[in-house]
Amino acid sequence: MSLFSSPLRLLDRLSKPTIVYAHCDVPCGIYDPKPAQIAAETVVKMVEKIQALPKDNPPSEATRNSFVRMVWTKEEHARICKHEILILWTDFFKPEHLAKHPQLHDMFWQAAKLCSKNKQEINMEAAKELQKAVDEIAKVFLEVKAAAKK
Amino acid sequence: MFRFIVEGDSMTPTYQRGDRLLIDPLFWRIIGLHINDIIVLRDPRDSRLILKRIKDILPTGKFFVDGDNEAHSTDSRHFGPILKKQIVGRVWRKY
Repeated sequence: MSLFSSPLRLLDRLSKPTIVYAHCDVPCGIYDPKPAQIAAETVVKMVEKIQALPKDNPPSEATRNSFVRMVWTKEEHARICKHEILILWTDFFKPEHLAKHPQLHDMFWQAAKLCSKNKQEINMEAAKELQKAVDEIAKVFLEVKAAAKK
Repeated sequence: MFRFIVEGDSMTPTYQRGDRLLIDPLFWRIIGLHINDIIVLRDPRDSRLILKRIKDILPTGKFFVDGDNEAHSTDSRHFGPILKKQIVGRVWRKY
């Protein structure tokens, strides 16, 4: 910490700085885990469809076209899933939620990692793990929402 | 100088959530504001303090403000250009 900021940080301890909002508040209050759940479900579906493709060798043009489309869709929905859960993590959940849900950070971190894994691999186990992780996030989200209404 | 702490992500990558800023509440009134200055202003809808960048100064004297993270910002694109009297100060520096 610099000579400039040290005294100011000390001052902050005595008197808190004012909050200035740098918010995206058009979607604020419309947080929903559903898009992430749909994206995770799509990843599972794509892995299922890729694995069910005909195993003809060499693959026909139609099979190759389907394969590319399915991989692209899996990639895109894993990306959407990560984007959606990161919004929940960074914008919806607040430090006070950690008290009741201490696993929160790890839960999101693992889910985000699973999004990446599902981009890298055609792996049904990883796809199902992602779906489960996102469902778990949705469960905590609903609990927090319900507690806020009380 | 006023001390502020940033909440939210609409000014990333310039300023992140938790960044602490010193705001000049007076000097800008003498030397004026310029395009690209980052300011603290009162949200015209609910008067809370928000952080935005001046993107344009209109011939009417109003200011068009925008977040650096445009995909995640509520700004003049939504609430229109703002008046000078809504401006609280200009960001001097982070600390």
